[in-house]
Amino acid sequence: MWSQLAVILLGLWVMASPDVMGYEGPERLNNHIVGPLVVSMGIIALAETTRAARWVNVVLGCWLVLAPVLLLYVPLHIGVRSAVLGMAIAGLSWLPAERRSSQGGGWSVLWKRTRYSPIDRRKAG
Amino acid sequence: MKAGAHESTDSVPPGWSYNPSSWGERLWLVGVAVLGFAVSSYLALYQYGLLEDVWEPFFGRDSEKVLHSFLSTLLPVPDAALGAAAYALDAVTGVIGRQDRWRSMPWMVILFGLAVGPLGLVSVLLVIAQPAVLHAWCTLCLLSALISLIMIGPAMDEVLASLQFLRRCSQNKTPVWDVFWHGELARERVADSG
Repeated sequence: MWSQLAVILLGLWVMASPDVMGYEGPERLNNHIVGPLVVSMGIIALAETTRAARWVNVVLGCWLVLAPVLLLYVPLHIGVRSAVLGMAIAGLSWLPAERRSSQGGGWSVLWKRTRYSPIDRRKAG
Repeated sequence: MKAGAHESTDSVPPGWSYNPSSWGERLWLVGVAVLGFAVSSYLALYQYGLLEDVWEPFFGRDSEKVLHSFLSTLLPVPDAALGAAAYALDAVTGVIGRQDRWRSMPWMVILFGLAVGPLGLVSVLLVIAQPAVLHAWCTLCLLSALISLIMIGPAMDEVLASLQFLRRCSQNKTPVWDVFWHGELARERVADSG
């Protein structure tokens, strides 16, 4: 819960940073796209049912680390900031949260074979 | 009459610690949807020209740029009006059905999930479009996006319960299509005739 709230705050900063810091380079558009996505996935991942949305933020965090190199951010410190934010977002999103309720096995029971399958019952009967 | 052969009379789905279709889980979401409807309707009135000004505490004239942008008029109806319609659908599909509607009315729960989920994700695209395409921010547009995002996670548990129910039905060789539309009563009919 707290880790997702921290991710949301970091995402808000990523979203606002181009305007607050006056970024002009490729980091401007990149942060304007990645920031809202991080915030959105962080909000969705607050709920236990849709906790898996945090994995999107792990990927987006890694992208913020790689983007300065691939999109050629100048000067260097803008790229360093992006990498630090990315590592924090990816790291915090990686943390699992404690389960406070049970939901019948979650989404995976929808595609997993269970021992209650009709074929098994027929064999048993 | 209410309980099927395999599900208990209790409204809590098997393996769950709570009932995702209870009023406590649903009504606050309906309230949030109504709030979203109010915000979107206000913005739509401005887009239709029925209001002269739009409330914007932070970004100056930016809101007007966003609300009268080419993106907002891509469709025959202003985008805030579509948003208001989506919130209305959220509220209506959220309130219809009993406290065991995850099994008594699966189609309504799935429709609710489709109204909240994918339509909520559209709002993420609209948030990105503000700075990336229009180079302007709009406070109430952001608030509306926030409202639709907040609803996604808490709405999906009910959808999950319904999908798990339909999965159990298919494993028990109950016609899933029938149960999807008519709920657990359909399963009873099958059990009686068989």
